[in-house]
Amino acid sequence: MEGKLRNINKKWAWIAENLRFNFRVFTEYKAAFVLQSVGMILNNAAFLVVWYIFFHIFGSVNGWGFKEMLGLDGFVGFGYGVAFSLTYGATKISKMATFGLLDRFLTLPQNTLTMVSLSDVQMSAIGDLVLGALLIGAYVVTVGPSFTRIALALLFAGMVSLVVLGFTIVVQSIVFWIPNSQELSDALFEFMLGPSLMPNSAFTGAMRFIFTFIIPAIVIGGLPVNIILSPSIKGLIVMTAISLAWVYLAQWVFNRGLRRYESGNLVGTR
Amino acid sequence: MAQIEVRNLTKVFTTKIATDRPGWFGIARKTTKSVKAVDGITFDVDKGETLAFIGPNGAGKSTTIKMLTGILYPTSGSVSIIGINPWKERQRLAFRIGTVFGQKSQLSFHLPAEDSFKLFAKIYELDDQVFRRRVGELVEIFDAKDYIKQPLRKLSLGQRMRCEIIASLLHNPEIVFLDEPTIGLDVVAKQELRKVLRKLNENYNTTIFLTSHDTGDIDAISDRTIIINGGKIVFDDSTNNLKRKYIKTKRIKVRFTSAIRDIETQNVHISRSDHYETELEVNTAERTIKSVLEEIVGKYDIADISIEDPSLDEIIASIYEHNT
Repeated sequence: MEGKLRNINKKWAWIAENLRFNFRVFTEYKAAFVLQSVGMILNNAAFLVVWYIFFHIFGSVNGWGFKEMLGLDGFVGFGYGVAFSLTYGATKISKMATFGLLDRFLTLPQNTLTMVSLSDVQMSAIGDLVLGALLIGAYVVTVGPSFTRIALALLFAGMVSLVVLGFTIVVQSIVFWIPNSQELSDALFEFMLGPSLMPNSAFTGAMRFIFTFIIPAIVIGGLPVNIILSPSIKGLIVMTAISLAWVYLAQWVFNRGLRRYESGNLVGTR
Repeated sequence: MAQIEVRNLTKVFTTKIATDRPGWFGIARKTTKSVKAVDGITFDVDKGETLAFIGPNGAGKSTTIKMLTGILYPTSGSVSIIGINPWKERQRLAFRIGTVFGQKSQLSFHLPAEDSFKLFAKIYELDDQVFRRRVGELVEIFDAKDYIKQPLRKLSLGQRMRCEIIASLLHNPEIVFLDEPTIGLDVVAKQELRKVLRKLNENYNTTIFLTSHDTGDIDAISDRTIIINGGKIVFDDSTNNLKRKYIKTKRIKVRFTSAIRDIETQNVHISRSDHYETELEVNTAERTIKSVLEEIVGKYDIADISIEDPSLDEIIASIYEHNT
């Protein structure tokens, strides 16, 4: 049993070491890290001020007010922050595939997608992550903290991060079928991010279906906010199923694409 | 049993090319073209061998090495590396081979190489004790103690390449694939790198599979040479035989004690000449070196004389031309 545990630990220890390694990159450029992170927190906070003024003047939008926007900005910011700070490499799949830079991961003995995702970091996204976590906390406090709500908030923070990462990987992997499609991938990502920051009540009918099951804009913000407000098993199952589906889809699409990878000979560094 | 077994390996790339039709329609219309980058090559490599896999640009060297390491899927043929199929069990194979791509860095540009080594140790699932011992050995062999604690961005290209090779050897691989490891290095750095690769082969009996444009690498590192051109193997023999088989001319450099106006010899090509020095190329199939030397020594007052083989560059260029 002890031997088995040691083997499992060995198998996963590289992920912890990779996160530590990425953190060392942050600390290598301390001033830039602090300034960019704080700058991003101020930038996001400015949007909240705009929403505060909006709801102060117009009241609520179909039942959504400033309280809900705290939660929405919290989840979207946290998910974006995790995906772009810790797994920023995933946002570069398109570029790496175009210039043949995936070679270095393909000759290493761990999961290629995980290694690619953990291969780069974005300093400013730590600001999104920190403010996102604070806003999720503020939302739970505002709607009335309970064990269920705190547990759901923690769980959903992780799930939202996985969905943002999964969607990023899928849109970035388009490059394996459509060469040099970095801008298309970026545009599709924005197509999710933009609507995700809109009040949840703005989406109805077919739009709601599309932005839940095809472009997961509602899943990374509005849906967890609603479920925390009115906790339900059904809501939990839907969130879990969609999150797992994006994780699976991301790995599947990436692996299929990798078979079409043709490498290249560009001179480059990590 | 061979460590590397390659049978009828072929890789076809399909590329889109613009049609010749003029105007905007010509730009928009594309047709596909298949290019055979590697065309049915077969060879074996035994444990402990040092093999240079060389060829001109576009010959199929990098494509072959990428198929052998599992980066690319072949169109047809089979490969077995230590009994493992590279593209079916890429991750399992990665535990047993090392790879160095001279044009692509595996190490973080921002951090010291030492930090990257620690990460690689975890990726290769090495015990801390094994890692510490191994990195100590390699740092000593590669004489890298002074700079592994400095951020990679502050190192010279030669120092960086040494760190790249240390990273690829941490898990004590049985085979090391090196794709153009000396590219961009200065003469001194190249010589040092060749020395340590030779040492690596001698100390650990590590099989070395090297692609390079630099014939100096081949001379210094490899006992065997495979030359590939147009995706096909055009030469596969020992590096010594490569020289022996293809050296059909000798170069005689002569320095005279007094100025000479014109040199007259039969069946000898004068490649360079001034009044005090001349360089003669002798085709040994047409004239013996002995007869040329006897003629020159008999006719002129000689201050110095030397006989040289053509460089490996020239030999390989003649093989390329012969097989084009």
